[in-house]
Amino acid sequence: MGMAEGDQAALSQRLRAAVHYTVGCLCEEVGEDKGTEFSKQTIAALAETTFRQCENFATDLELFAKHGKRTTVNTDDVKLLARRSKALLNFITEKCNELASSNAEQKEKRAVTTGKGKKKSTHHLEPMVTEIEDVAIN
Amino acid sequence: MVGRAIPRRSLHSVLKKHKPQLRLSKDVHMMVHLNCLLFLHRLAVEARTKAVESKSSTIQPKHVKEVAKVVLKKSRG
Repeated sequence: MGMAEGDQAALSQRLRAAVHYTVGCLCEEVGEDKGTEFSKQTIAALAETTFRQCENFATDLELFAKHGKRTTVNTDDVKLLARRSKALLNFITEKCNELASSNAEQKEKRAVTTGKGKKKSTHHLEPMVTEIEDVAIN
Repeated sequence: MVGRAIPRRSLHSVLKKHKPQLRLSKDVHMMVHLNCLLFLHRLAVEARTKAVESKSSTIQPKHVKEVAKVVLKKSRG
């Protein structure tokens, strides 16, 4: 997959634009919340900072995964990344737990649906619901 | 400072105090010592800048205290 120089530049530009847009949206939200306004230059500076910080995050995560003799970055690496500030670490850990629980729920659902077969009709949906309720009661 | 031996015992005792069941490899002492030296260097440089800022020719305890928080934060892993 040899990418041309121009393609790489265009991809980087698009990424930057996406980050800029998202930062703008978040700033708008904060501005509404606090009753302040952000100038365009401030938003641009924030976007640039975010972009550079993401580069640091990426290299760190890669190194953490490599240290764990893995090629896949997982949640433990992200927790390690956030270990410097206690509040952030607590927040990230909480979110990880939420994700894990929701994933477990989805797995349970999937196991139930695959047990039903591939037919997706309302007729098949009703017993599934009752089964889930049974699980909840237990 | 150049030809000085690394204080292995004291480093070991300090590390053991913080993490009693941690096992240390052979070359760890050297790297920890190097880290300590670099940290002290950073602290000294920052304290000197603070002293120059406040137009004092000597580094006073207050300069170190003011700078220590920032340097400690920077030297986190």
